[in-house]
Amino acid sequence: MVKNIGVDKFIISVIILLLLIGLIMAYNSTMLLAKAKYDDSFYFLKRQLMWLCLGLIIFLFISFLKHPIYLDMKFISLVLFLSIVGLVMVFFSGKINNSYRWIRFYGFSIQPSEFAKISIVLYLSYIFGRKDANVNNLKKLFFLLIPFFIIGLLMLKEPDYGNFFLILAVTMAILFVSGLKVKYFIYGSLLLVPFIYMIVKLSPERMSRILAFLSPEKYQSTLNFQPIHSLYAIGCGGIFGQGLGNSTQKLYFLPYAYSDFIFSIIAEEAGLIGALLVVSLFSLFFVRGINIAKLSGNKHTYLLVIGLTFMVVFQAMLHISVAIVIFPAKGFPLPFISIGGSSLIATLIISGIIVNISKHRKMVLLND
Amino acid sequence: MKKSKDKSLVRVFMIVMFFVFILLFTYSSLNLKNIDYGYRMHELILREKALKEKVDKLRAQKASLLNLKRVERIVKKKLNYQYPRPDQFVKVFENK
Amino acid sequence: MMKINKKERNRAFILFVVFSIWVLFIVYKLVKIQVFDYTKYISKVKSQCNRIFSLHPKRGTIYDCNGDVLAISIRAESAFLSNKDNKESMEIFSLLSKQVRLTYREKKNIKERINKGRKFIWIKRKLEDREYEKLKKIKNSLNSTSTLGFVDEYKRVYPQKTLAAHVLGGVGIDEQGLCGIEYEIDSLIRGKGGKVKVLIDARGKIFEIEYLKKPVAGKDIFLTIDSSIQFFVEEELRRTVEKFRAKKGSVIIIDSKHGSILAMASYPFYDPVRIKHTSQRVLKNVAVSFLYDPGSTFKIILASSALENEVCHPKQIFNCYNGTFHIKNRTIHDIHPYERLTFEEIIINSSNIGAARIGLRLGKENYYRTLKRFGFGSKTGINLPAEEYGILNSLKRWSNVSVVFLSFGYEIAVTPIQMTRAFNVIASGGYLIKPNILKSVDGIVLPQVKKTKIISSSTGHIMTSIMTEVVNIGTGKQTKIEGIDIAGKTGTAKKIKNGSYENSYVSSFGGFFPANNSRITMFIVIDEPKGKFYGGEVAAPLFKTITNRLLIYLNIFPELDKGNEVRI
Repeated sequence: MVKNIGVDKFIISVIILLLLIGLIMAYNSTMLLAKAKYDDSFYFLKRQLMWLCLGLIIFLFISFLKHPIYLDMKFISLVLFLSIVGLVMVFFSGKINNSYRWIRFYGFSIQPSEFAKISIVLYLSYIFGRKDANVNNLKKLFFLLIPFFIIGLLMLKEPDYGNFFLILAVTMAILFVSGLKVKYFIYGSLLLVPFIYMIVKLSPERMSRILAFLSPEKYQSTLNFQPIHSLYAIGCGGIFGQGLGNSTQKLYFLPYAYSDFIFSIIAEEAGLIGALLVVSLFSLFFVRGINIAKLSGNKHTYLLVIGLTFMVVFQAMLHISVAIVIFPAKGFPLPFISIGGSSLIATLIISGIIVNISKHRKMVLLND
Repeated sequence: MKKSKDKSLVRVFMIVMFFVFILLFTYSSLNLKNIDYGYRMHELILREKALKEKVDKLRAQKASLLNLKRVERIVKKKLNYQYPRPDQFVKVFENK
Repeated sequence: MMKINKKERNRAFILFVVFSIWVLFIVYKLVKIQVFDYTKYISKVKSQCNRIFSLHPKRGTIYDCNGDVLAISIRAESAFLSNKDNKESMEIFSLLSKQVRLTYREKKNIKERINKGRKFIWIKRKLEDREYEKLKKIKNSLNSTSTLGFVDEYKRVYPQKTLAAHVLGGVGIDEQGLCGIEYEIDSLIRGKGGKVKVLIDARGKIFEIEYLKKPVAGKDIFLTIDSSIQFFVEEELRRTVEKFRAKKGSVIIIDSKHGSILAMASYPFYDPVRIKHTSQRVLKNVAVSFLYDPGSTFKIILASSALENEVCHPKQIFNCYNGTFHIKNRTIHDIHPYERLTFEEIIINSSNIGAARIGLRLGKENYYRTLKRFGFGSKTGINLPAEEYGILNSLKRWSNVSVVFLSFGYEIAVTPIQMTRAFNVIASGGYLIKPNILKSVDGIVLPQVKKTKIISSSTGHIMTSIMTEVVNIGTGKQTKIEGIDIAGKTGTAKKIKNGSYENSYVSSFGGFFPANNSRITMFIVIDEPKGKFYGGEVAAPLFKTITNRLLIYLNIFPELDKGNEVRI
């Protein structure tokens, strides 16, 4: 007998909770900055709210879709094409912080790589979810992965190593789940070693960041500026935290506290309790995601949901790992929570797709 | 039956969340304002100090401009004034 | 549609397990950082954000009685080098030394310190505004901005330069009072330092202030000095001292009724800012620390005592032995020989022999008692440091001729301020009033000092009329001003050097006016005038010039009611 489970309210609750935490933190981490810079305490919060509204409309739209258009090859091709166009357009839009990542229009800027990440997952789950898909045919696999290579290379060119790393991870995860032999992973990693080495070696900044990661105290005042202050923030949070709004590290000690290090601020203000709340919300998101994937019963949606969930949670865990200095990197925004329009909208699109699939669970089961 | 119970549970959850959110938001904004006022207070203290110092400097400047030696020098040299000779200084008063 | 096979489910499970391990590791790390290393991080954040500053109090301002500024502290930056690299510091210093006024020796000192590798080197304390602007520009142009630093300090400014310098005194480099009123009431005027704990952000801006100890600002002081009077008194004093090529001189002017000091001038003058480069001799306030034999001015005390003890009356006649009087084995001379003089005439003509005769009649016990009452041999208690007690031998140590010499002002050492107070006893109709120089502290007017009546009003009256005659027809004729009665007494004392009297003199003149209702008491001392030396010739003319200006300034015209034309 088939049971109608319907839309997964649990994951929606998790999403809402994360968004609410995001709103509080968006205000907490930017109020003083906005006041000093724009003389408007709500400057960043207003923008974030606007993006949130837009994101929620898209979220609702996608989750109420009758026909899962994101499973359609033509649509996926279009999205893939648009992503590549977006990633190319970036180079005509001028540098910010020494990299081309943004397309600006009417005072707003969007980051195409955030959306490209989704298109990659859409594409990969489509091709590996097909009946005739054979992951272990390496020659065919190489050709199938060409869109990934194009997007990857464009991201490296920007350069946006963070998002490149993410799509690499998510691609590997999808390949892994769709059954690529473990030995291929080992070969692949061996191939990647010199490649990663080159990326690190080429940039002295990256090199120094790794060095600083290995011995944080030594580079305290110079290179390792962010990690040390992130640790300070988390450390002085204690169990119950300094109280919401009371973070001192966000007072210009920790640059980009509102995006790359928002977790540190949460841990400082809400203590271990707040930090664990965030970690467990993302863990629940993952568990629920896998659950939805399994119940969707269809390999395409299975891979899609696992890929999307993985991407969100993996990014969140990376963000947290950077904050507690167990991973050397500059930083990833924390999905749902960090300030940033593109990231928020992309995350809500992903959530929309997951919720939509959870809603179609009954339909999928009937088709079975 | 179960569905309506589910729905009311969701509603309660939403309302609770909303109030918790408002509470936390207010709490943190109070703390933030506290810090902000700290900044402003110190800024004002600095401004007050600077103004007081300026007043003192101007007072010192005024006093040194009114330095009696200087005034007398100006009066004598530049304006060519002289002390009255004893016979020049006569005060006459009416008989009452 | 393709179903999910078991392998794919397992793979997802593996992914989940790997993920869980990661999450567990994160949780472990969080607990370690937030629970076990909590105190370590808290102390690190504290050292990062907490700063404790000591706050220097601003020294109080000193005003004259009209509220004109006599001394004020203004902010001034001090520049220092924080030396890390000798060569670099030397280069920076050579840049700086062109913009800052430094003596050759100071420059040499700084260079030596740089070469010795000292970490902290003052370049100049309390820069001028212009110097600070220039140094700030240099600092901004430097690569390592931390090498040159500034410290906020206060600088004491005396806008009137040398005016009333001896009263004000001066302060040292750390604003500590060194002499004068600045020293005397240092604890009042200095204020108390505070301590403040602040939290700073990464930009160095302060967002929380907690006073560990509130600083107390130094109190503002109003003096009784009138800077206009002080100014022309100093001018006239300088002129007189220079004219007679005297060593030093002093003029004290007090309000007869209250004992408030309106002017206190001591020559030679100095600039309080340059106190470090001023010799101890010049820094000495003549008015309170110059000890000398008062000579004839002292006769008014003798006369008061004689009248008070009723040993003689004003018209009593004394034999003056034609200018030479032998007592025991000593001889006393008068400048002009007199056969016989009345009590009044003795004072008017300042006869030493006459005074000696009065003294002998008075007796030493009576005289000593009067001297003690007039406060000789003890401080006046004025709020100025380094005041001398004067020397008054106790009765036991008086020889049998002491009373004779004390009669005309020898065998005793007094200070000008003591003499001023003594003259004021007669001016005020018999009251001993403590001279005071502080009008108010921090807006609170100081209570009036209690006066003690030490001689009767009638004695005061008689003394006043005798002293008026001194000015009208006696030794003080050069003080006479048409239209106003001035009471005064001249004095000329030989100075003792190495135990014997020699040919250098102290000329003095004390007086008050208007005689019958005195407002101003003034005392003048000129030490070692050359050429002329009699009090009536050196000090008395100065008294007259100052009085002339005082009458105009204070608008004293006692003869108004009589409708006379007053020429001054």
